[in-house]
Amino acid sequence: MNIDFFPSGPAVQIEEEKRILFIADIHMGIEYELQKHGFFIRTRGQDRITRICDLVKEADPDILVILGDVKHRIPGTSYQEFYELGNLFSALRKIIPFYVTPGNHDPGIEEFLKPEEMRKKEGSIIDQVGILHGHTIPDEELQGKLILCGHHHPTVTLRDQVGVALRSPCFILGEVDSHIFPEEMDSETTTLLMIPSCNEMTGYGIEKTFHSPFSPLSRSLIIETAEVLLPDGTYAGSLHSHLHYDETATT
Amino acid sequence: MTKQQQLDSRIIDVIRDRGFSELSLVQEQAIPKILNGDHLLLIAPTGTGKTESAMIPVLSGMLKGTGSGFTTLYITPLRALNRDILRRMEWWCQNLGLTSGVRHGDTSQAERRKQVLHPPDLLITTPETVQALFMGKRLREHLRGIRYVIVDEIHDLAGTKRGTQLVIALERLCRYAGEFQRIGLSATVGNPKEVSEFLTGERPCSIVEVPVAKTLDIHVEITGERFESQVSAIRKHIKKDNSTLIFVNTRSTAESLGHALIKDGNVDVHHGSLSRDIRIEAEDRFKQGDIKTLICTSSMELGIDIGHVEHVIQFGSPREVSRLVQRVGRAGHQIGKVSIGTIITSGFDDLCESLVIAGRARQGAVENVIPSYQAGDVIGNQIAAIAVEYGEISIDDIFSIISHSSIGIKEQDTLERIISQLTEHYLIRRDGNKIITTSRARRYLSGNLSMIPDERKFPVYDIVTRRTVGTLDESFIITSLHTGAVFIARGQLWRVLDLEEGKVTVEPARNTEGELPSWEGEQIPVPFEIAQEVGRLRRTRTFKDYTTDKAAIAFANGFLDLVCKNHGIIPTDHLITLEPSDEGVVLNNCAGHQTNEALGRVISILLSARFGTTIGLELDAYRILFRVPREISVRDVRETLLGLQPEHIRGILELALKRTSLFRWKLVQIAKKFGAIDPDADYERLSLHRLSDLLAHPQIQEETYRELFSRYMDVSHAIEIIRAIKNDETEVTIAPVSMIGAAALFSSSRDQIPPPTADQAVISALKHRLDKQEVLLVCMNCRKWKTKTVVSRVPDQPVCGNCGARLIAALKPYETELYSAANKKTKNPEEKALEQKLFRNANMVLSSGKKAILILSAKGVGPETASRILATYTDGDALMREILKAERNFVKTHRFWQ
Repeated sequence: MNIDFFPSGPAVQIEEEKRILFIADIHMGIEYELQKHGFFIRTRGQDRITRICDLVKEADPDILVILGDVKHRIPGTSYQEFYELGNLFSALRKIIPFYVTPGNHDPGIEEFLKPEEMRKKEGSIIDQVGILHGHTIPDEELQGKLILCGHHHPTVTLRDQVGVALRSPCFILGEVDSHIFPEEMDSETTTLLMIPSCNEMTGYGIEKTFHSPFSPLSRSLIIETAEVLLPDGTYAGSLHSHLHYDETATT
Repeated sequence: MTKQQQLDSRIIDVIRDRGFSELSLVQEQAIPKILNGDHLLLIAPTGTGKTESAMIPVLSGMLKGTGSGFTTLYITPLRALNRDILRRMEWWCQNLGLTSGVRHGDTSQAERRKQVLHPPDLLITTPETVQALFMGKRLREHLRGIRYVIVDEIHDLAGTKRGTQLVIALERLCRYAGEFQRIGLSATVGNPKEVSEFLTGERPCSIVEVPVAKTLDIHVEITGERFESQVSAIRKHIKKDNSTLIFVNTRSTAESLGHALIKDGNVDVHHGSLSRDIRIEAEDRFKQGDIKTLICTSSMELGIDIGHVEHVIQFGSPREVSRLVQRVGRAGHQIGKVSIGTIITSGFDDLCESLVIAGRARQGAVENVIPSYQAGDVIGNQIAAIAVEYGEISIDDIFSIISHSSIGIKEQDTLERIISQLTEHYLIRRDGNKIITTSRARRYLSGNLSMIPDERKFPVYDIVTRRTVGTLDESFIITSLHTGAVFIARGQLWRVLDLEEGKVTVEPARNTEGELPSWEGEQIPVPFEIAQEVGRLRRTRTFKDYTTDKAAIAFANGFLDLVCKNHGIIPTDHLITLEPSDEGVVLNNCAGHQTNEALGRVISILLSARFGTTIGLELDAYRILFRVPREISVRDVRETLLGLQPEHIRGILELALKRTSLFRWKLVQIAKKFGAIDPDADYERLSLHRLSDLLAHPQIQEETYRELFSRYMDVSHAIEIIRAIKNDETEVTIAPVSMIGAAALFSSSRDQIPPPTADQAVISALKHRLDKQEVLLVCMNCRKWKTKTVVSRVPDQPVCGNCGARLIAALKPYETELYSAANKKTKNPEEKALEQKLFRNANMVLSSGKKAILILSAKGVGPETASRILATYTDGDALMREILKAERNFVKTHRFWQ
């Protein structure tokens, strides 16, 4: 298994039999929805499409997997999404075969996709790796695998001696408690990789996620086994050390 | 009285009825000019009959005929002042057969409707309500007959964006009413000409000025730091006098002083956090003599009539000459009387500053009021307002309105840029040379009539005790808080769990390193000139020139003697001292808040770039505290200061300010005024640390810089200081901690300057992690010694606690078994190999000491990788980069993913 990190996504590429590039949470149309919450900024949709296409060209995978939340509005599709999703998928089709695992923001996404581009939302296997968006209980067949998911938008805070120095998207890698699966099988350990959001406006502190977990997967991640990685694969310490920063600090 | 003959005979009768036998000096000078039709700026102390000076000739002119709408607008900055003016004007109007009314935020719907149907001849209002007048179709019609506009307390408006907005509104008014007569009423200012131009633009404007200095009698007293002695000093004064106003600088001081004095009876408190009814009641009781003493904040600075004041006490330094003059001017509220004021000071800084300010007040050396020239957000706000007013309007017309005022823009290019910015936020649409209003614009305007930045308060909810522990300002949340952040509130540490549904959810936090953010809000800055004169006073000790109070002189001399006796060095206007302390490094510089802000930021930006660490910054008018990690010494700070090139200061600040919380806070405020963010925007929807990137529009940024450099940072005086150092006019020396440097007043302004690149932040985090990493040290010589510790506690060259040998291997904390296996008497081949591995490890520690242990404690780094890293012979950040590279490689291996 070969692993590569691409900070411009952020994305991860795993090579087993095939080279597969994984991104998550593009949230096209977020600007339109932000207007309802008081932010009036022009859409950056086209910039995002260009960035993703450039990323694909750089990584040169065999397949691209988008781990859900390609669109933003629930329910329905805004004019911005209608226009920009069309642009995104037609740009991608020109350069790469891709799959989408639908997320909680994706009702209606099928209108933009060919049936063969859609994957099961409960999860499926591609080249021995489990894939799903991450808002649902994962399918039985993912047990014992390496699972990749989006949904959580993990963001880490790095501190130095004086204060907060950097907020960065991050990957979280750790073991999953097998209780999550309806029927536990005596299999190998299940490992989970949470992929940061590909949308440059979103991000959710991991302190918050694991203090009050909001998804089956975040509830089942065994914190003591989990590690934090920066978008370029830099090791950023254990998840435990970030959740319990106080205890590791000295005065 | 020949001058009165030009007044309408009806008003002369009314003046006689009122019982005025003669006109005051102000009135004598002002009335003929106004009757003559001049635009006029009238500068006189409060209580000299300024309002009447303006209104007698205006009322006389109004008698010549009023139309169907308003004839005169009287604009003041405060609603309370409006009510007061109405009280005084109602009598005149009634006796002259004119009508008067007030319209502002507190005016009832019924009253507003009445005004639309029957507009009063004289309308008393605020700048914000003037904005609203343009929004209603019928109200707009009533503007056509306006012949006079009086702007009261113009010194208070001219320096703010409210003022900028108002003078553009006056140009908008000209489109309905034609040219009208403008009269500004002002307290003493240092630059009357500029203020008059602010009012009238290019139209000629007369100035009548009555000097204030002669009528002031100001004393400065020292009471010491104890609150009780301060209270008893005040008590002594208020017993003597029949009516006393006590001015304090903060609301909390007002409250605690009120608490201490209220049991004496005859005392009440007046400040902005109290409800309107309570304030009015306090004013009335004071006016009627029911209470003798009123404790107040700047809320009472402007000319609300509260009757006769015998004595004004200023509690602590007033910080500015104009503030002192205004406040003391409230005493002796009758024409020709001397105003008596006393400043009660508590400590050395406070005393010296007060002496200097009192001295300057006697000389009439009041500060200048600098208008906000070409403020992009105000102009944007007014373009959106004009579009709503007209529905659609040509860009040429907009340019002609805005460029007529003195503070507007003079180039159409700038206007074009602001227009395209507004278009992006859907406030206007553009169609060729026309702009057209949008559905969003009216909603935006009703939320943005005022240019005063509004601050929402967010409750802080403790999830453990399930109760609200306090509130935080929006500015603090935007700049410093995010989930996981730790901050201080109510003297306790809290960690943020959540920022949702308009509240901050927290849990109690335990100890944490470094300085924590805590936002103190904006304070009144001490100007450069005053701080420099304080420095001169420290150097020359000419206290006698400033006061005759023996106790004050003795205190000041005694304080300086004590500093010298303790081997301290006294920083002055020609001497900057640097003092190392446990908290960090103090730079003593008598230069005022804004200059120290500029200098402090430049230095901390350079330090954070050089050492790759966050620098905490706190400052006041006389000192800057850099909270730095221990590896940054006082010499490093000195070197940075001496290495500064004056011409680079502005550039460094511009580049680096973007990363500061101050910049982000201002950016959000200005973005709101530009319409990019609604007043009640839902910040949880957006990852806040991205906000400044999203708002990186050139117009918003440009205005943010303009405001920061004109209101917060005095770059030109900072350059002056650096030049003085280069020319050897100012000396820089390192000194031991002194009472001056250690002054515990570090609360005026705080910020954190993060390192410039993500790379440095990552390195800092790695250093922190490795320092805390547990490590198992085992002796490979006697084989009988092992100890578990953390890397930061490991000595440079560890030795065995048992045999004293230096052959120590560094293992992961959970690898105890490896040591026992390697120590077995009989070993299988695997264990033999293990022993060899431990030897290799120990040899590395033997030759490279702690550095080897540090490397070995990184994630997934074994002896082989470690020796490869050691072979690069790197140190410091370069070594950290090698370790990061090794860890990245490990992350990509299969082993990591198991």
